[in-house]
Amino acid sequence: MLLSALLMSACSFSASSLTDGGETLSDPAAKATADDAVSSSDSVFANSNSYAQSAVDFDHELDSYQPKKDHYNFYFTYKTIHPWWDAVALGMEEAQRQYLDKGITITYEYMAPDGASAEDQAERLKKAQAENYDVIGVDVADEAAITPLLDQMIDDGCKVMTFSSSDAADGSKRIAYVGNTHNYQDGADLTEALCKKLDYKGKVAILVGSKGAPCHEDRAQGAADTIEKYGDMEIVATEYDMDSIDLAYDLTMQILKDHPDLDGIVCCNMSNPVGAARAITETGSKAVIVGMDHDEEALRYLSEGVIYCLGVQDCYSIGYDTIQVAVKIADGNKPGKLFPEKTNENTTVIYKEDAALMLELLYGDM
Amino acid sequence: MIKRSVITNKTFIFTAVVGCILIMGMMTANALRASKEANTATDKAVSSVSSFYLEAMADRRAKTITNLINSNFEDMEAALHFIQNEDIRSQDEFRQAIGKVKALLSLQRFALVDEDDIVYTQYTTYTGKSRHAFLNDNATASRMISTVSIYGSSKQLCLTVPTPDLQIMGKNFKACFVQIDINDIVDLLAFDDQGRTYFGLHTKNGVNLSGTQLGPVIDRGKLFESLEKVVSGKEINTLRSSFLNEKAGSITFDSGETSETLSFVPIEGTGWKMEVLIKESVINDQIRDISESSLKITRNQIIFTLISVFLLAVILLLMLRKLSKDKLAVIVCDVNGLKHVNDTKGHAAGDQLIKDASNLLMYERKKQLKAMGAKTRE
Repeated sequence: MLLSALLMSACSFSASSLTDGGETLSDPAAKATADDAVSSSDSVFANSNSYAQSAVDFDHELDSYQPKKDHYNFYFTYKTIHPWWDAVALGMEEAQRQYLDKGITITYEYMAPDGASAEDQAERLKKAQAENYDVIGVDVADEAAITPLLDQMIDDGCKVMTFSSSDAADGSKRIAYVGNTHNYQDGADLTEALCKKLDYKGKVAILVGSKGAPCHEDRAQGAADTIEKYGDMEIVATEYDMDSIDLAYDLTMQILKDHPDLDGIVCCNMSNPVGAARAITETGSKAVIVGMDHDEEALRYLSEGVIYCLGVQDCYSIGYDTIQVAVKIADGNKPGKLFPEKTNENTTVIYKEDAALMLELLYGDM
Repeated sequence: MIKRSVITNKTFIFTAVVGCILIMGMMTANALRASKEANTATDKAVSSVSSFYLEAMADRRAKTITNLINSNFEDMEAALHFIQNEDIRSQDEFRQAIGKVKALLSLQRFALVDEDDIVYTQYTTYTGKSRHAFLNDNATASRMISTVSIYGSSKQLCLTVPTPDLQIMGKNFKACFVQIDINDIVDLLAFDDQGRTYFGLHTKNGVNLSGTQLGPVIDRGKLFESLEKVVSGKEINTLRSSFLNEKAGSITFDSGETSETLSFVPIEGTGWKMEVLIKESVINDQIRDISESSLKITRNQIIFTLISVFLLAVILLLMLRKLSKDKLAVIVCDVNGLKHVNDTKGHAAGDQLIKDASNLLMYERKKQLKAMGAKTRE
């Protein structure tokens, strides 16, 4: 409860709800004005509070569903080893603990390669299929390469779900998805904040994550479509860092070399903003960075003002809900009353003034 | 020749009265000074006893944590020994063995890590390189103690033991670790002190590990920022330095309600500090009670002495007054042959000899006084 309260005070607004009242709150100066006006405008306060309440939720309880077995064994695989998925794991472990309290044992493997790779993911899925797992869950590394494999696994009688931030391609046979369902909007919202900061003019670069990763591609598309709305704004580069901070740094250095007058960078994954911020700090560029997620180094750059804002996804809830949905799928249930085909989780955009609390909350600032 | 030296009654009475007043004045002044010195000594004692008492308390709690750590390290070695001797052939058997040893040794989150940084717990197997800093740093050459806090989870103490010779299911293992919830450590340390003292755990950069509030000043946030409100920047810098350099120490500040002292000691190997806070008034009151009780006894003795001196003076004055009316002299002398008379003629005869000798002396003395011109009474 305390953590929730802390986060509530830390968060500015939900990215998926940016368009009305959130737009007023997206700019720190405007937000301060709005907060100052609380006494004279209850509606502003109410909006601000509702955005805060949609932030990371650490306070979960299992729903009333009664599992049919007392032991479940799952296999989950995700794009790459990274703290983002460690946060998802913590949500999973909480659900696992709560099931154990009810006498139900959940065991699972939660595995990823050192670097994102559709080939590696396909190999892992094939190996998992050969084992007798109740459900196999996957955070899709490349929807074009992985979706057919998932469909084949379903056809073979395997129970498959997707989770975290990347679903399979539309029309996939996978049973359900738990995670971010608004990646396009996240990209659009972050870019809108950037455009406003730049007064709707200037040169912008887009750093994407892994090629083919649906979440990264969707955010990049949202960013591109937003910039296209403004005549005085221009996309000068779009690059893929393949979820590597070092590559994100190298790419940013090259972009700055090619475009020293760069005004802004849209970062579509967790590694982009760190690499970009390192390069910006080193070169002294004035380019404004907006990016995704809660990497510790990125949060420190946010607190120093090097990064303008970050969209933080509710990884904990993703993990927790993934286990709950997996149990229901393992029991043979289909999406419907018990669980939706897509369980949506929130993204919250935070600014410099939120960074210290977020660092304390997520990393203990030790 | 007899020298004439006459002290008048008036002089005698004056000297006696002034003497008594002087003695009484000196004794009163001495009593007042003793009382003041006792108060000063009490304050000094409060300060030194506070520091000593607090440091001892902090040290005792710190040792409890050190013992807990050492005990866990020993349990981990025992767990490894158990697992090494198990014939583990599958993931299920491995998980069962971990579960068994966890229950047997009451270990909290116990896990093993293979050479590919895959972590095996009782219920989960996961890739852990980014989650566990000690794996990322490849620092598994020796026993290690670290503090873990990620993504809103409770803060935990992580103890790592290298396992260079461990092989399970054909895989080499490099380490095992346990994670102990710091809230459990705080519970272990909790004791009933009637709300008069507070203890807490902070990291060397002042982050509150125990989540405890130390009195009205030190909240659940960072220690140094809390204290900035009540102590000078110089004192804060000294405190920061002590924390960073793992030194013990104490700081006294005014909380607005009372004076408080925070005593801290480093906890070996953890980078943590154990602090104990006490309201100085608590010790002050206790010592003052004892001191005041002692002072009361002294005061009573002084009053008794003063009354005695006063009574003595009164008696002396009365005697002097009597003397001024009844002149008295005492002559001490030996009567030759008294023993012989007693022995041969009996004690009644001896007594008569003494009386006769006294009368003779009286007679001779009167004669002398008459010769000197003095008046005598029969």
